[in-house]
Amino acid sequence: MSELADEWSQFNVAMAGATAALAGLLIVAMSVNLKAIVASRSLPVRMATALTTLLVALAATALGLAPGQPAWAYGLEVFVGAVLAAAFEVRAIRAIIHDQVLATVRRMAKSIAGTVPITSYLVGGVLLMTGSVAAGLWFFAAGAILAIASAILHSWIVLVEVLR
Amino acid sequence: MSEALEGWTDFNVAMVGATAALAGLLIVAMSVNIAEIMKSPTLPPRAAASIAALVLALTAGAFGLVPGQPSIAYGIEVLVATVLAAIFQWHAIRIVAREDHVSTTDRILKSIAGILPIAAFLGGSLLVIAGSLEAGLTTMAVGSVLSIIAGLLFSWVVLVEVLR
Repeated sequence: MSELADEWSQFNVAMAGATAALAGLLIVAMSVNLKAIVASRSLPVRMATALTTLLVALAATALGLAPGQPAWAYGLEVFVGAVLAAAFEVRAIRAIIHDQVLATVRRMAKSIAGTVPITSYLVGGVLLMTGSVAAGLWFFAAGAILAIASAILHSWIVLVEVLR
Repeated sequence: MSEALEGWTDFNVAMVGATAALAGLLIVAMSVNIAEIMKSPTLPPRAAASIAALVLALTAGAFGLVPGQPSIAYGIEVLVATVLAAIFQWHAIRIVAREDHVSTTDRILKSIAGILPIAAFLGGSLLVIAGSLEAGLTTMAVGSVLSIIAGLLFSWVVLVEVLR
């Protein structure tokens, strides 16, 4: 996939920097209202999911810059990371479901925000391992942008919404 | 991807990093006086709109780095992102318009910094879709710079002006 990887190198360079900066932001944003976050049932694990998803995005863009590796290996690496993030997300969804105070619509909205970027990475990983390299890389790109959107959304939640 | 967009690669790489860092800065700046900010009805929606404008610039930069896509697809991607950011801005303007004891000049000043980047991205994406690639990409670049200026301005407001 060396030629394709070359085409994506600028995207990966830019997104590696952006996801790393936002991972730092997420931790700083959490530090402000930490007591309120820990008091919540689902927020700690939702934040862990958002952070892991950003790390998957950072790893995916960084590994995309590694020279001379076959596409299936790249797909497998990212897939393993995405499975790890998915494990956090499953725990987060379980915590959200057990949150009796919430209406069903809000529960679904909270679950979707974390699930979408991880799904994009899982699909992209499978596509790369099965040989659909171009499509797989597109899913990775979507995953990176969605992970950033999700991280900013979660930063907003722990900084602002948690105080309302 | 077209040659015209390839010329913007370095600009897009720089903008993805810069807008991500500034989105982080804005949230950190908010965290300092978060209690004061939450007392104001207009500041949280304005903050959300500023962050949305930065994420719009980030998304436009990231999609601009995706290789091998037709320019019309790029225009549509940015247009969709612009509409999403515009929803946040529209919400902020409605809240500002409802605020009591504020002069019309103040209302316009509070809204204009948020409207300009959205308008630039809207115009730019429509130009790209219509086929005026050069003009469209230049207008979008203006939008990116405007969103950074608006983001910095708003960071100043939540950090300093809110205490006066």
